[in-house]
Amino acid sequence: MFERRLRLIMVLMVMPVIAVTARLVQLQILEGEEYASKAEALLIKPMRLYPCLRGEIVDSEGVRLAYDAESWDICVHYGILSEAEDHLRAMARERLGRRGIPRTADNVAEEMHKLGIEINESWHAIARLTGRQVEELDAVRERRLRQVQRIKEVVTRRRKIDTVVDEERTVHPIVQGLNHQMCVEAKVQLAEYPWVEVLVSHTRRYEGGDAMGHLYGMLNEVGPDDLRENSNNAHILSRYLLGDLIGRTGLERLGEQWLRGRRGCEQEDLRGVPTTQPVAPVDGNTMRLSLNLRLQQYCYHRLQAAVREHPPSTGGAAVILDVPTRRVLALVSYPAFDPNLPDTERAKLAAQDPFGQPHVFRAVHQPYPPGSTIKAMVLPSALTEGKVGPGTTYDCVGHLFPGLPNKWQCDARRAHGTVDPVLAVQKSCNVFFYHVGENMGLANLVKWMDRFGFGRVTGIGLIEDATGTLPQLRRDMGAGPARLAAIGQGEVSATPLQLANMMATVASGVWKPVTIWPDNPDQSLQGYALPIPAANWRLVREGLYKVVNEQGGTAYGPLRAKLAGEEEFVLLGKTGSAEAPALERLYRCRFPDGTEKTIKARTFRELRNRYPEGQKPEYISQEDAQVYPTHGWFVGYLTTRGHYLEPAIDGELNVAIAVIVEYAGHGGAVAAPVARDMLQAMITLHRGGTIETAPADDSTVRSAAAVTDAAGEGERP
Amino acid sequence: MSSLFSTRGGWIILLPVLPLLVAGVLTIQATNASDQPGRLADETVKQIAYGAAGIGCMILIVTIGYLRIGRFSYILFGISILVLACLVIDRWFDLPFVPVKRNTRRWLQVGGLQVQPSEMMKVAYVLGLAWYLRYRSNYRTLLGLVPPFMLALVPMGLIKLQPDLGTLLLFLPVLFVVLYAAGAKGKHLAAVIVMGLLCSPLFWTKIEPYQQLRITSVMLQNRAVRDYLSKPMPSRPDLPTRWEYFRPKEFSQSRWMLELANWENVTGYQLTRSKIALGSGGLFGQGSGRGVFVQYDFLPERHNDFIFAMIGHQWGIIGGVLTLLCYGLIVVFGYEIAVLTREPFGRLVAVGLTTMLAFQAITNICMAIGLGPVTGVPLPFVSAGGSSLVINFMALGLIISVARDRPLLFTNRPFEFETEEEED
Repeated sequence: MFERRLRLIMVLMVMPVIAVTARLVQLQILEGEEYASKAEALLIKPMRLYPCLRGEIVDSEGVRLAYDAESWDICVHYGILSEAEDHLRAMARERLGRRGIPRTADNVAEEMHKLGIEINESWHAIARLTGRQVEELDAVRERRLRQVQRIKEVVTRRRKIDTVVDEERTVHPIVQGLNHQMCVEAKVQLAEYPWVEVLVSHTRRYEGGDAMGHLYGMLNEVGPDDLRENSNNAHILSRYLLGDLIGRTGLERLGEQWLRGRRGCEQEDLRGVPTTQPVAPVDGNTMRLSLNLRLQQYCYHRLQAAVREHPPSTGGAAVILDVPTRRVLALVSYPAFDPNLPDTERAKLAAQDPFGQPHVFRAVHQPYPPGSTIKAMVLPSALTEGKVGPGTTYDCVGHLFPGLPNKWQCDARRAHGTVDPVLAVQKSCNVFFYHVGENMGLANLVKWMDRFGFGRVTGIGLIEDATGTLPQLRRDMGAGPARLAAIGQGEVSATPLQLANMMATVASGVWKPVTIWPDNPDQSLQGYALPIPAANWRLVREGLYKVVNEQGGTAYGPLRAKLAGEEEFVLLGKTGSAEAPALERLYRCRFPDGTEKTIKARTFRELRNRYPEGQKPEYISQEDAQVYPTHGWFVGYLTTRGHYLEPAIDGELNVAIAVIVEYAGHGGAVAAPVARDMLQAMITLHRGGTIETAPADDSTVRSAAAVTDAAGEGERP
Repeated sequence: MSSLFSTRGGWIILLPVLPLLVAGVLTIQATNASDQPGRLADETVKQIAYGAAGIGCMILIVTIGYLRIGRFSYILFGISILVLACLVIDRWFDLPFVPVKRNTRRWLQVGGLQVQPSEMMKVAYVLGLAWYLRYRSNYRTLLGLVPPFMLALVPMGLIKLQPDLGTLLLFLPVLFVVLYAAGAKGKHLAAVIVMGLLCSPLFWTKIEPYQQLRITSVMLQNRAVRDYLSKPMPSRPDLPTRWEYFRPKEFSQSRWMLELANWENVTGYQLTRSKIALGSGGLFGQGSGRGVFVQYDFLPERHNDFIFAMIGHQWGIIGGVLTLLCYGLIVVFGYEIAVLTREPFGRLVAVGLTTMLAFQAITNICMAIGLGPVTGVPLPFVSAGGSSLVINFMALGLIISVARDRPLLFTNRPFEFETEEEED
């Protein structure tokens, strides 16, 4: 029985042998090929990526404005940043293996301890070398870890799998922007720490100084949101990876896809055999602007001088457009900042200068009340609608209603008398346009404002491009809002760029989208001709001509907009003095101890913030602190002297301009000379001359301010 | 056949052992010395030294003779139990000679050496069992099976507390085979197996979550099964996946779903790599000391628990089948020795130890090819590891000694229950 039972057990034990053999046949013969390729795949090392250069930005003359300058980064491997025990253990084992020491648990533990000390030393070495605090480096380290963790979270959520992301296998920059000398020092001093690498990198440099401050916009590292919305996440070479830069605002955002380029790659396995064809990086394209840097700089400094001349002016903006193509030739906003300012510093700008608000890109982002400049479009609209004829006249007594001199005013000092359309534009007669507004009605006016580009984007493509506002239509409004809208006050507002484009529309009879980058592939907006007969245009242009070039015009005179000694070209334009909200108000407030005081402040919240908790005052009432000067506007365009009544579409130097100087007073006295100087510089450039691009020194500013406004003809909006 | 097993015939069982030993040493050398060519790696030297020590112990045991050792079976069993108990006591009272590795207590520190008491327990258990069963006839009743089962359950309980699931599960097949060979009634054993199977859900709840995961790995390696389990169940819309049924209470729901989704990189990591190593070996293998898995450390424990994968990687399916054949020969020779021995203690020792070796080999190989759960059971005579190698050679020594020293006194076949055989 014993023998028989043993035989039976032996037979039973044959079963697992058969099972094992069958399994071996399955694994090694039937699926052998598949597993062999999997074994090969284990050998492949992570792909090495090579960065490309971001494209340059150049101006219309090819002057380099923005470019990637070579610099170096000190990078540390993620395993060291995270101090992951697995990584440290693997490193310790590898080091032991290289020295031929057995990898027992004790040896590994000891080596890990040594490694920890060396890592600590390496942080101190980096800090010493770059003159930073270890705590600073620690903060950077924490930030990198957080970034990778967030990416990991995003990827995990998307794939529903806890995966190792590429960023966990690579080095991350800790100190960026080293120059060549520091790079050499770093390479020598950090050579003993294999986890620290000094890698070549690039720093974005911007030329042109403050004049170009707002235009470039912000460029910073991609975040998890960008990675999630990767538009071209199909390929690793073109998708965003951590550490990549992405344009957030301004030109860098506008040209993001054009400027980005495509990274290169190389992949090999552990034996050093390349596994794919290496791909060379492709640098980004050059973005050629229509902007002229010299003109831009001149305009900036001229505007700066004008703002400084007229306290309490807080800033200004100027736009010069080429009328036939609507290319931007200058786009200036003052005050500005150095475009090479780091993001952290930029964030402080608003707090540093609460009145100037240097971070605001006024030329395209700040809607202002257009004031009388809007009359340049109200008149042709009204003529076309038939609400006013070429011979229509209204009597101006200085105000609209007899016996109510303080309401619906025109010129406070003097009545215009009998006013026809041309005279109304020349002298900027409010009473005439009150009637025009009343005749047209608000709905009609808004329709025409829309046709002239108000309340819409200009098509320049910048994220900052603001639409401005149009008056809202309400029931039972009466004539008031329409009258206000006809003189550019009330709810209507527009950016300087919109007004420049309005002027270009008046000059050519055609509305077109504005562009600053002629190669922009996104050309979705279409231009159109306005349905206004040529005779109506001529009438308006006649008025605009007289504003600048005839006695009695609001911008007439050598100190205003008259071009000195100019035979070939003639300037047409319109001034505006837009009433603006007060910068500061007087707040009547009660303190907790019972006292009442009147304090001047920008906002009540700002006032309360001045006092510690428990002593904060309560609001009682408020009033204007002082009567602020109006915003000074000048909009106009340059055309050939002989044919100024005809559409300016093929002239050599058809440019439209819009200039605003905030809180500076009368447009004709303040903004018109600025515009004239800019256009004269433009003409000089056109004729091959040179212009001053450095800031005008203070003496010239003061002398200009000393000259009183002799030829000024007072104007109230 | 019987001429082979005359006085010196027992040595023939070493014939299949030597190739296994050589294959083990070659693999250990290849996987540990990739950066220092031409020199014996420390692990290789250790393995050779332990092999020599094991052979020495084997010769010593053959010289002493199994019968003289057999008298001390219970004492050896008792000592082993005490040593195992030390490991358990360390859970509450920290003993200096018990190192804790990965929250398990499996080793004893004796000077510079680490020994695994559970290895010693295996041999002591077989001796104790055989010594108990040698003349008894009461294991023919169901109640008579209680003492042999207690002999198994006490060490199993202690090993469960280490914990070392793989070693623990070796005791049961040995117990059943020895009982069956000794002549226990088949229906009794079948009844016990059925009872054991009925109790297995209880056992499932008593093991650690990672052990549950390793057991489920056997079916999870199939992608289709993973896909099926990751789908929600139509009748239980409150559960996110069918896999939820297997969730230990220690794991959160999200962790459990991640476990399934990421199986190849967590629990299934070693198994996946082991299958790649085997599969890429193909028919003839990558060659001795060559291949991706030899050069790079892609498979953890490749020279140890997963050495079978390395054999398949280097020598292909031919190497794998030859390895199986070697173990087959060990079983055949071991059982043949048992059959030719009339002395009941000797033949039960031979059966028990042979079965022990065979089941270790099967457990280990099944683990490497994905037919069984991942456990820490080494491949006898091949895996790197001192205790296991020495103890396995001592087991061989006992088997050889059985073949050489069987008393000529028993010329007749011993008493057997021939008449009741038909009932089985």
